[in-house]
Amino acid sequence: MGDGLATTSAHTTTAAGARPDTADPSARGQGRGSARSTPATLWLALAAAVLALLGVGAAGSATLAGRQATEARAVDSDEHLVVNVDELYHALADADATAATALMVGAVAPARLTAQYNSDITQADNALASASRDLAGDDRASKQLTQVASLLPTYTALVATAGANNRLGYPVGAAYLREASNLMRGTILVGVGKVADEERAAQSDAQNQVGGFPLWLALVAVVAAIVLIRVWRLLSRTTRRSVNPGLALGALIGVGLLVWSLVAVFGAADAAGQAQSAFTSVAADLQARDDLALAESFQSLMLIDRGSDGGEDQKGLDSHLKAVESGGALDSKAQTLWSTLDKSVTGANGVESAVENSQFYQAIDLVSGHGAKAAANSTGAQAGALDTELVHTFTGDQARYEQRAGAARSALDGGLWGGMIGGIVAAGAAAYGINRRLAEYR
Amino acid sequence: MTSRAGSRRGKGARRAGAVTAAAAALAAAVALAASGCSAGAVQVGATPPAGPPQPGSVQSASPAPSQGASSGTPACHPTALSPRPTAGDAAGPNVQRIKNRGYLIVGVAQDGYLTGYLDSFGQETGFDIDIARQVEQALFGTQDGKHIRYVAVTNQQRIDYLQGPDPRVDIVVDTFTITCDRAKKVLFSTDYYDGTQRVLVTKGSGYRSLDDLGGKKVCAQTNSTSLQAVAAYKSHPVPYGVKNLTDCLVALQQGQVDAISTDDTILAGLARQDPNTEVLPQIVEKEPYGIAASTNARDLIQFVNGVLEQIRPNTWGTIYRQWLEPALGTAQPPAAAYAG
Repeated sequence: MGDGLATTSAHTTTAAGARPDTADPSARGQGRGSARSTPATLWLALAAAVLALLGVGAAGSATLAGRQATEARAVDSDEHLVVNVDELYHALADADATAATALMVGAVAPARLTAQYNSDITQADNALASASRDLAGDDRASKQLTQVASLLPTYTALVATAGANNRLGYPVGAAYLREASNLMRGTILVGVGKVADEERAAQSDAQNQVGGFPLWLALVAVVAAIVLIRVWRLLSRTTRRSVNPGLALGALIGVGLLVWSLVAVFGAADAAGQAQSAFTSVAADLQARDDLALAESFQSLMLIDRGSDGGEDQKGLDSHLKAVESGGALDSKAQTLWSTLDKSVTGANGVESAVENSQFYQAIDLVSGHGAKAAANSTGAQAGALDTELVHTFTGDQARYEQRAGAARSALDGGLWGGMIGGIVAAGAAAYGINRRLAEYR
Repeated sequence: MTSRAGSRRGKGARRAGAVTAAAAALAAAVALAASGCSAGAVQVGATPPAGPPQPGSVQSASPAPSQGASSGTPACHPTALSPRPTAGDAAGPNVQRIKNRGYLIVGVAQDGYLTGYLDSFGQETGFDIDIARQVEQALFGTQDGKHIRYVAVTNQQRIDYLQGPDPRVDIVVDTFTITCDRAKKVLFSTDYYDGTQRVLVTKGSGYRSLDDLGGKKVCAQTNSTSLQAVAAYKSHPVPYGVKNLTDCLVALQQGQVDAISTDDTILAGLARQDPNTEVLPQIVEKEPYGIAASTNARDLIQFVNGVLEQIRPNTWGTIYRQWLEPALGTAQPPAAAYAG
């Protein structure tokens, strides 16, 4: 019997729970070589099970923690940069519009416009410094921002020269302003726009990463399942027991870990999708503000050039004004404000009509009013009201974005330690169960 | 706003998956440190390029051969192409159409200091504007400004706005040199000012005429006879064309051109805006000014010629003394010469 058992142990399987017969030394001596083979196999099975379960835990941990970090970066860094860079764009565009309006209304720039221009430039300086600091590691963005920083003093100098000449009543002031505005729209804003593009793409990439299918986790889970099934079958054959409690517990914990990870990942993906949708609204709000500022800039330039530009300024005004509406950022109140503004600019008795009829004095009144007097219902005031509403909409959309991005992040809470601890516990349970079988050979 | 679609992030490390979050952070830190050495640091003594941009409407200038006032066919005398006024001009269809409309539409410059520009109150002012107001006076019996509307035109638009079945403006009064080529596209009045093309340079530059400006950039308006004359000049200056003449002054002040060459009336206005410049005495070419109208408005141009006949003895001198005499000295109105 002993010989037979030993022989069987060596070549087939040992009955579950049956201890090898060690009463006969000769048999023990004969069976030692065969018994070493079984423990070695069990050690291998133990290592494989432990590695598989630790792998599941590590994959779950890395997936959840990684996605949470990505989501955090999307909100704390990328979205912040998008807003920051766009604020730079908007401040510069608004400065250009204000400089043109100040020149248009008369020899002496009204104090309110001077203050607004100075505020815009200060805001642009702050946004530029902040963006440059945040993007210091991004060579392409840094080069763009460095160029913007180098051209901004040139722009402000040209505007100052334009203002000084205009104050003296010299037409060369308008030429300096045209040069400044061309520099702003043709070079500076293009550079800032490229950086804004990059940041928007980065933000979108981050959200896509959070919402993507957890491929590595799935692959590790499949490999772990195959390994555990083979270990289970090996144990079944070796120990003649259909179930190893420790391995079963480890596998259950592993499955639980996997299910928890997938629920968290898909929950976060859903929230990230909603966050991305909210971010689309945020981007549309920002774009609408930029288009509005550019429309105002073209409107003032149209009145400064008085049509001598061949209608280019009017085309710019029309296209940017339309873009404000078509971008999808307007709620019902903003839509009403836009319609009022559009009518005042392109309507029968609007600014463009006055320009068409060469009634420039009236057109300036419609846009801003002359001198220090600010016309209450001017297109400038209407655009200001629309901009305020767009800022209001932006604030709401941004809060919605951050709330949903926060939900995505929360769905992944505990991923790092949960995965690691779960994996360790599962591996420990499997190791304990298999070790019990190994102990039978000691 | 300019299109922002299609751009792509270059820093892969910043967008790496979070499994390698720590590695990404490390990479970002390394990149930050590297950029601190390259992009962020300021090199002591460096002179980065930071010059002003080109004036807004600079265009490459490759003008056609000169077609100045005297370059038409041998039989063409540009200042003797205009039809003689008649007693029935005021009843002509184009004149009546303007009267019925209630206002005259005039193409003018908006940046020609002393000739046609916006004053501090946003009103059109200058020598040409006052000439146009004489036409308003003759049509409506008043110069209150309510019966005249101004449309700013560039050199190219001076002809474009007078063409077609429904011209954008009735007349153009904008330092418009009469040439035989142009007279094929528009009707000119008689010569109302004998302008001359001259050269403006920075004081102390050492240039005394176009002969000294060979190989140097000389600025003028695109599509102007002045730019063509510069291109054809024997010393071979480099013609530098811009849309608006004030852009020439910007280019000169920024050191992008060495001189400006155009009509003396315009140069006088530019010199007034920058006292560090001077108009050289050399006369490059004669530039007789005419008021232009559509080729379909013969009655209107005859009416304008009648107005010019009336203002030559006295009013012309008053207008000239107000705007141009301080800069250009005394002058007399040119005598009218008519076709046929």
